[in-house]
Amino acid sequence: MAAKGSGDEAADAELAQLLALAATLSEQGLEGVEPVFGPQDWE
Amino acid sequence: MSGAAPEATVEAALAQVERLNPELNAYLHVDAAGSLAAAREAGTPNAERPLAGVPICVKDVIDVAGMPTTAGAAGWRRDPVADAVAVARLRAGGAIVIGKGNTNEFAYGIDGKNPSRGDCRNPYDPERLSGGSSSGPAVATATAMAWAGIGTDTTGSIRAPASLCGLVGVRTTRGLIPTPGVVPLAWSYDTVGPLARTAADAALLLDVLTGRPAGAAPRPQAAGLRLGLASELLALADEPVAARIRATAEALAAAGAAVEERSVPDPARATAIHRIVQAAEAATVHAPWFDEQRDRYAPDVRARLEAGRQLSAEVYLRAQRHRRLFTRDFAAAMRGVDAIVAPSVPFTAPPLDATEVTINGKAQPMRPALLSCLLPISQLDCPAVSVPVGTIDGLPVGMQLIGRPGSEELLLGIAAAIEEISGPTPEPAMARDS
Repeated sequence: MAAKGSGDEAADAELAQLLALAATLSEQGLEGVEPVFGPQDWE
Repeated sequence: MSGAAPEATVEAALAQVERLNPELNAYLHVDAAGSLAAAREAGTPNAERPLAGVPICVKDVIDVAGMPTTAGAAGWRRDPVADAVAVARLRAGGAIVIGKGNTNEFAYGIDGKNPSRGDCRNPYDPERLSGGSSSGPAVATATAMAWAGIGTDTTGSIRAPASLCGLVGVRTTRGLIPTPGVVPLAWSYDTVGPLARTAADAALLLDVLTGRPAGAAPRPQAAGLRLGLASELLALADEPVAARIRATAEALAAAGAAVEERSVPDPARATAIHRIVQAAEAATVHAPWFDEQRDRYAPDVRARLEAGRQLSAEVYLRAQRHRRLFTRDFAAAMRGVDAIVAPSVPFTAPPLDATEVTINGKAQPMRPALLSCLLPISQLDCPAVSVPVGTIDGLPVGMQLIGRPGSEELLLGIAAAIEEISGPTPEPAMARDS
């Protein structure tokens, strides 16, 4: 993703961490998975 | 409840506030005159007003008409003319709001520290963390500055201070208690819930907060239940805490529960999901005023909000889709058991200024360590209760009980059984010295 730095060192470090975490969440296995929640996921 | 007249109960709480609040910083705002006036009108508890005359501390992200809402921030404030839904229900049930409890700035923290309004301190040792962000309601409750507290739990903000301060704290099923009148942190995680000294107190508060008629105290439940001890969360705990959790699980088994170790989804998956979703949602909440106010935020909160606004919709939604997968995997891990048990905070209260905590010989950064066993559960729609399981070196230990959506009554029944096993948590020495 093309994210611009804010010029704030702590914020840029935080953003770098978030983007590194985002990279661990792959598209694999997400087919048909919608970002909604509720009792349908529970027995 | 003590059975004392409301005026005497409120006066006793206010006396504790006067004696202890200068050191512990539990309250940011106290309405002594208003509380005493309400006490004179309170009457005695009955079916319609089961909390008549009991003093409550409300976290300062929740609106109480007639008191400022500051969210623990340096420069942000609103003066609500209406109660939040949760507070309106408490007041209709007869409760008296003594004042507004300390919080991490905008509830965006887990340690109870607040650089602009003063850190909230642990009553078992004021040189240690209280846990947060519902720090004020927790400390007020633990020291009888209130009968109970109302907080919010987005990532673990009720369960963490409950664990470190020896209280029963309930993260409620998402959506069970309405959030209008609450300053949001991250709305797809935000919940409102009680902090109390006993499971029975927490159950009574839940009845009132959900608008149900007050029921009987929770029946201690262990016999016949099937409980799963979460292996991956137990592995994150410092060994003395892990040993206490195992011993409590064994005691529940001796009381008739079937207890087995259960594998749950990898907590690291939850960390990635949560940090992205929370940062994006919090940045959106603060967007209307952030540019104008950015220099007034605490540095750590400012950095998180600044980073969150840079995240794309694609990254946010991918994290939310992974959250749903995580939920499905956790639901699968719960098949065949009634509840999962785990540590709450996986160590006892650390020193106030520590930036790291040593767990089983390994130094770890404080914030993720405080959250490690709580954050994964916050991905679910489920309730989770932190219940005290005694102390280690004079500091409370918390055990977490996790159930399916809507299972608060069952979890508080298990908590009541644990109270029978563990006995009452010793109150902080400073709470009774007078």
